[in-house]
Amino acid sequence: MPKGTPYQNRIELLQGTLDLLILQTLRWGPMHGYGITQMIRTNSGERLQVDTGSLYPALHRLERQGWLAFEWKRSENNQRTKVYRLTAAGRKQLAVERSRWEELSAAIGGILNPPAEEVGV
Amino acid sequence: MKWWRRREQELDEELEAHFRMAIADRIARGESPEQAAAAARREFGNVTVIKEVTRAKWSWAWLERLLQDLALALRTLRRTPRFTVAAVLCIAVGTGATTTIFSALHGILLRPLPYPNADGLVVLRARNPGMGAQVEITEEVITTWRRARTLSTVGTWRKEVFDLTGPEDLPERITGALVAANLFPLLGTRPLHGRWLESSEEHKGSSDVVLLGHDLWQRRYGGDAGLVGRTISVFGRSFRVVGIMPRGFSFPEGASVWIPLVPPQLPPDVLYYSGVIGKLGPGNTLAQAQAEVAGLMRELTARSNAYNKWIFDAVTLRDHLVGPLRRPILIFQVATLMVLLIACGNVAALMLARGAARGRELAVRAALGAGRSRLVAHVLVECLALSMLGGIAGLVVAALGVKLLTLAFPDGVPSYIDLSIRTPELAVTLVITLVAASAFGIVPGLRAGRTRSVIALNSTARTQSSLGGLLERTRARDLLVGVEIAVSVVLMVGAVLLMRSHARLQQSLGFDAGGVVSVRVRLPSQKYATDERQAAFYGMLQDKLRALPGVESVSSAVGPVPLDGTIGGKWNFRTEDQSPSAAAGQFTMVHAIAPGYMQALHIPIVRGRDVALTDRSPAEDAAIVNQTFASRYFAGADAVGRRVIPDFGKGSTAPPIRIVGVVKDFRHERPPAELMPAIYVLRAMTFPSETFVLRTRLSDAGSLAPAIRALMRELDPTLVADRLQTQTQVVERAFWRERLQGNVVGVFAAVALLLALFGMYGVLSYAVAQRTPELGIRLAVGASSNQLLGLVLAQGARVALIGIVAGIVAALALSRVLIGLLYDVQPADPVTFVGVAVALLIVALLAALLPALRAARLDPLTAIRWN
Repeated sequence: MPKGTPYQNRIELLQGTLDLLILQTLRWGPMHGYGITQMIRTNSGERLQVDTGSLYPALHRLERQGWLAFEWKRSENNQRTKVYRLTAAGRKQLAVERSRWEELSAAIGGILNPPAEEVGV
Repeated sequence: MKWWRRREQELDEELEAHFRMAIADRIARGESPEQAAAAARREFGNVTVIKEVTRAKWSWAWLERLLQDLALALRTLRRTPRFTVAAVLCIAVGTGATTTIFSALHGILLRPLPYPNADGLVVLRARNPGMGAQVEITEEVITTWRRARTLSTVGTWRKEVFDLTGPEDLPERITGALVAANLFPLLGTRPLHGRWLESSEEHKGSSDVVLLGHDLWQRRYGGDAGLVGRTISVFGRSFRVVGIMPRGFSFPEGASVWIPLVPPQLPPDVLYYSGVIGKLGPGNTLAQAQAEVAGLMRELTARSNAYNKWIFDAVTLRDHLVGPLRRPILIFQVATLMVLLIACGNVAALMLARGAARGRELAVRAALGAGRSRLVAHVLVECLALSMLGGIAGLVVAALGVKLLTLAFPDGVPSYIDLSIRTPELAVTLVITLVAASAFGIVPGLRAGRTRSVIALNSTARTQSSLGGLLERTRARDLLVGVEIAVSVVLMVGAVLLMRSHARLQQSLGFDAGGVVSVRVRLPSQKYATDERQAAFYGMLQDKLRALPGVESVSSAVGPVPLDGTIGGKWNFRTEDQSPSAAAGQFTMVHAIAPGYMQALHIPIVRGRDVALTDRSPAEDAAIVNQTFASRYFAGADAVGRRVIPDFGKGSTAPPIRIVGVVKDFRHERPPAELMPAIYVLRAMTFPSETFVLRTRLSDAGSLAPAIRALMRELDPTLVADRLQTQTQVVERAFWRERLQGNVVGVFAAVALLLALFGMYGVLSYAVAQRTPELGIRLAVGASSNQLLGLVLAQGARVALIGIVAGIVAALALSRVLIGLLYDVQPADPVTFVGVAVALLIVALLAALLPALRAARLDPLTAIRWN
């Protein structure tokens, strides 16, 4: 393995979650990269800041896997922007990622807050 | 690459849009443009890195990763040079052998023949097995073939030798042919210069014209295009050169001078033509032509008794030229695949051993987060790197192999065969190396994928790494070696059968070829017009030949030496006490010889004596007969002293021939031609051509060749020393295919055996290393070093025996494909099978001996602590 750059490490760390966040965000409709960052930021109450170095590799990878599609559109001020949207496969993947996330958070939740009855036994 | 650049531009554009939108947002939130730009840039991060990481997600990323893995693999391989060299050599041998034989398969059986119209051509063949090596065809047969409606044109030729004379250069004997004018248009090959022969030139008395081959034109006439239109002299007569054929063209094979075939005014049943080719009519298939020709030939045999023993067939030009090579090549192909299999087996065994030794390294990598697919990919890429190195080395092996193959053809590679390594061969090598890599990489790869970090890491000592896994790996390696030995047995059996058959063929000849050299002399009729002149020359030549150093005896015959082409005449005859009607159909082959001929070839005279010059008399001739003659025509009685009377047809008279001796049977033609009754008549008169046979004491009789040439030049500089060759060369040429078969399969068997032994050695060495602590404990609790020796040898013997038994069973089933290639040897020849089994067991035990000795010499203390 080549020596990893910090960016690569962060992608690796965030990968699973970031995919989920992007797919979930695109459920609301086609969006460009900047829009996705802003949406995640707003919807997480400014807590989650997706940095560009993670976002674009993730977008390109999801696109290559066939979960996202893109087209070039003209914005209001006549700029060409690349707009991503969810594909059917992406929708399915979203469901998978979601349930995986729910399982994981339930599991972690279980560890952090063991149910009182069991402790009592 | 354009696509790549477009994606780069789009990425730039996408990121720039993002950047601009971020600034716009900030300005909208009230920041100054400068502040906004600075903040956005800070937030954005390092654009170059972002681009690089994003690019990595594009589809080219796999290639980049592959290259990384490849570089890593090469580094790892360099760290273990012994392993690498061993593996690369195995692969090189496997791919090299396979590529060599593929180039033969392709060059001989698949590559288009070098004649533009070859596809629609049918060779019409006729031979009479009762006539031995007869290769000529009668006018009557050809007329019958011409009636076939499925054939649009029929072309004929007759092979000839021509003496090129004239002022240009020394006289030279050149193989050529008399050809029908339509023969070359049938083949479709156009002359390089000049024109084809014309049908108007197929008449006696029309101008004498000649076409020349490219090499002859280059060599003798300096490649001068102006030669066309000039005359050259052939047999002292002037012929006008009308064309030069292109380089590499030689049809019939070996010919480089072509003169129009003027239909001879001969009776229709005289053997004259050498070959006939027909072109399928438009819309007609080979099968239709074959059916029609077969029908016509049935009519002919029904009409004329003369042909009822003849065999007629019609085959494609390719089948005619290379048909007999088809089966050997397919057998070679199977043999190389077996060698490849063994080579792969060895590499797989090496990889398994390496995998076991590297279990911890893989576990560490797994623990550090390398995914299962990454580990598998790593092992596979390492295999790929190995097999690529092996493949490159294999090309060198293949180049050598092809060179060796070209040497196997006795008179050089025929013009219609092209043995070379070009794109198809390279493609095959590539495919083989890829297949090989996946073949031996798959098991170790899967094993790497199953690496469980916890178990492997916990095991500080290799011995503790799951006992089950160790057993499983040992069994896998034993299995590999067992299979290798089994395959070697099959190859060895095949090789030994073919070689025994070849030896039997040579033994069947009945003469001793070693130390014999012969030369043919043809005296031009103008210069040696009378018998006396000829006799005087022959006498002088014989004396000079006898005086050469190392020569024991010299004799001569009118016809060629045994096994070198067409044999003498065929006579009908009767014995002195037979009535002409009782002798109907009674025949013998006839040869005219000088005294000492049998002695020169070391053929024993079993009854009576040799012919002698004193036997000559006008009243009767003297002769020796062979055993077949004696037993067929004088069954039980003594042939010596009896007389036979040749029958040359109605009203002819010939002096009777007295039989003075019986000679042991020997062959003028190679088997499977049957032994014919033969009579060897003392040469009563001289003939314009004579073959001198020299029996020498030399180990290489061929070393006399320059002396013989010099001697003939000295006697008469215009004479050609024709067919100057050792008898060993003659025999080798006659059996070249058998020799090739034996040698190729033999080489493969030897290589397979070496590889299998290497596999055996490697596996046992590894087993000893793995079991060292165990062996140490055994030593410590009282086992003797002899017991340890026995332990390892027993393991080797067990594997070898299982492999040998499996191999024998497989060979029994497979050797049947050799039926038809074997002479006087059964495919299930017990001597061969037992011999191969015993020999293999012995060498396998020898291979096991080294590791066994290593086990026996272990020191118990170090062995137990072995880690």
